[in-house]
Amino acid sequence: MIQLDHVHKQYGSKKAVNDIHLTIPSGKIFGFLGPNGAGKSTTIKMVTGILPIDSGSITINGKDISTNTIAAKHEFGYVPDSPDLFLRLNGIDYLHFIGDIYGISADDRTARIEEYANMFSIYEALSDQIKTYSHGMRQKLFITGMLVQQPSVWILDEPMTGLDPKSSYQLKELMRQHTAKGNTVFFSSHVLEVVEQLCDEVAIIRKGELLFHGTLPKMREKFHSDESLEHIFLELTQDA
Amino acid sequence: MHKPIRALIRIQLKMQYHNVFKKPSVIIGFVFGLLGILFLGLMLGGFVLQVIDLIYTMLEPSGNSDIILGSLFLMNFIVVLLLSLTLIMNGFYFTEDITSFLHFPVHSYQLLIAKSVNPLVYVYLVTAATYFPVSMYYGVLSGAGIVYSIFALLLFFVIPIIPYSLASVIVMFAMQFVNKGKNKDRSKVIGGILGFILLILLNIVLRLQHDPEKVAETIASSAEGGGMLQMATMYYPPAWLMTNQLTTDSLWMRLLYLIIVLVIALVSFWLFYAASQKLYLKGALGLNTGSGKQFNGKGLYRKQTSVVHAYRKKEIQTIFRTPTFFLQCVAGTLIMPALLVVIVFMGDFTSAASLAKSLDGSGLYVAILAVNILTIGLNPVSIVSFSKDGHSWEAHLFLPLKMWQIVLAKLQAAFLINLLPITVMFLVAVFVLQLTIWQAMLWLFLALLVNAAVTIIGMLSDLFYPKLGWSEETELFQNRLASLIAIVLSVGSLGILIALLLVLNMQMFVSLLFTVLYISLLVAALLYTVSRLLRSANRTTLTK
Repeated sequence: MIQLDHVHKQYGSKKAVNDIHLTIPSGKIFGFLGPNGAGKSTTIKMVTGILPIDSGSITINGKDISTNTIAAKHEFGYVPDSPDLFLRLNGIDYLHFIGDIYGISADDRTARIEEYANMFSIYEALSDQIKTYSHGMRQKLFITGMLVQQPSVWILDEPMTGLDPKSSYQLKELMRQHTAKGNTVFFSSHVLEVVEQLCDEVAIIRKGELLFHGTLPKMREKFHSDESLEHIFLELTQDA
Repeated sequence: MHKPIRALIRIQLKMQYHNVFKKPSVIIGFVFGLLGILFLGLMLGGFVLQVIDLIYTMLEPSGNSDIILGSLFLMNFIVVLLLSLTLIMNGFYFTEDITSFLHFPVHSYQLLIAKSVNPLVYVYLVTAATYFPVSMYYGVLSGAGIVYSIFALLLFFVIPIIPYSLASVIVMFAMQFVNKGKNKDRSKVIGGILGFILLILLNIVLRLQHDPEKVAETIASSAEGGGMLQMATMYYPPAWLMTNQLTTDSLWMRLLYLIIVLVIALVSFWLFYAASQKLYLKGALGLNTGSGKQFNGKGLYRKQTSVVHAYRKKEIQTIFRTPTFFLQCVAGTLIMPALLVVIVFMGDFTSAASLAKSLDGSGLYVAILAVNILTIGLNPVSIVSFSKDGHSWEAHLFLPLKMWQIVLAKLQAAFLINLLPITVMFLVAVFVLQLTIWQAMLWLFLALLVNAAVTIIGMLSDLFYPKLGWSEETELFQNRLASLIAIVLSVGSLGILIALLLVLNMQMFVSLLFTVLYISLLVAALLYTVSRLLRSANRTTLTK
């Protein structure tokens, strides 16, 4: 479970995130939506400890990211929106690096690397440097890294970008299986169809403010609309 | 036809020089760099002008003094040719942005003219630094007038075109074959190592010719037969033409020589154009860093290791696999030991070994310490400790890593890599200087102490002025204030140690104890400052 308690972030005079109070429950796939510059990435970066929080607090499975940082970081796996990290490592070196950082045993990580690297069709490229990978392959490698780690909370920033249809389908299946075991998936996306077919709950953010939080049926009920999520989203964020 | 060239040149200049002089750190670095060049220029300039004076006095009576200009043009040709080979290889093939231009509807020659702007700025600066002082001094010696100066200025603009175009054609021709292997990284490393070898060879040549009178005598004696200019410029006729252009009395002949030189420059430009159109894409397309090999399961199973071990391994892998880091931080560290060997063998010492033996206990101790400081006084790995992570630094913020783990692993990696020059110097000490086993052990111990101090100094310097927002690794080794701070801190703190040892003139064992105590205190103070800086730094950007 992720708990954001009146979180606030400001850049100069601009309020990037304004008093967001949100609970992302266990056992749910949670979609985080908003137009470009709405504050999605800033929120995710605060949740993952990349950005300091101005005021408020964030806990992951009850562990505060600001005060109990390392313990909180062990609770989640994160796939960033631009996976341009550790470019000079080989794919296999990166996965072992992640395994060592998160203390995954040699047997467990070997089995997981084999399973997920094959699932996402990157196994044969594991001896190449990440620098040579396409965006989609980098995305798949970082997802594989998270799966090697097997944390209870998944945080994914635009995870479908660059993925081929097969990989995209497999990731969605993995998300469902993960939450079915009582774990949490928190992801941001621009692909509203994916959010519509996958999410148990959504939150919409605009100009740093939370516009809506709840299930899709609740959203339709609230906005008296039988239209698609895309239609509601466009209406809600039209002057963004 | 010229519109795309103009647009491409504009974008190249903006990318390279935009914002360069807006940061105070860059301005300070630039001023220090300029002062350094000026100092070096004055040191070398005096020597060169002295040689010219002597040669002119010796050769003027026999009418062979124009060899000075001939040699100048020949030297400019060689320097520009060698410099251009590296600049062109990097600029045309190895920069990361080259693929961003390949899909534009522009001809290869248009792209390469734009890509030539930066290399040509360097080439013209280097040419100006040697050409103007020598040609103007020759003008003064020969009592030449204003016409000489005007033609000399005109020739300045032509001089680099011929060697630059020739270098372009050579590189474009060679890169067709290099591209067969399609490995950019390997080509970069080979090119870089060849550059280092060239630097050491150049140093050997300079060391062999360090007496102005001897140099002048050699040249004068070989000029006795006359026709020295033709001989010297036999392999590069434009040097002969340019020399005559400046020294002939008839204005018409001068104009004729100028026209011939201009025609040669145009022909060389045409060669550049033709090679660009015919050869460039064959070398540039498909050049990448991939191995092309399929993963065969080797290394799939690995033992679980500690966080610090895993991080240290990642650091070392990154340095060895990034050509720029490898060249600067690994291959580059061997230059100083190599140069020192050159100095020892080519210098005035008849036998370094006998010199070592002639020093008494404390003298030898200080000498060993000083040589160690001189050869490993800077640890380039630690100067880019944090900066080399670039955008990947963000990962340190979401991974469950403690700052002490990162610092320890980075220090260990930097310390270990710097053991390479230490090993080389140790072997030199044992086999060349023929130190006794105890002296050799002392050498090694002091080298390790110095290494510990300079490794932390490097990290501290990087923390003072980190640079995470780079787009090319080479930016981390150019005009950085962090390098300057590291030099100042190393020279300052270890220089004080040497001075204290010299003043106190203690027994060797006491000196050793004193050094251990001094460096331990220095290391403790440096580590404390590092931890304070890290605590006060913004975690995202590492800025205070």
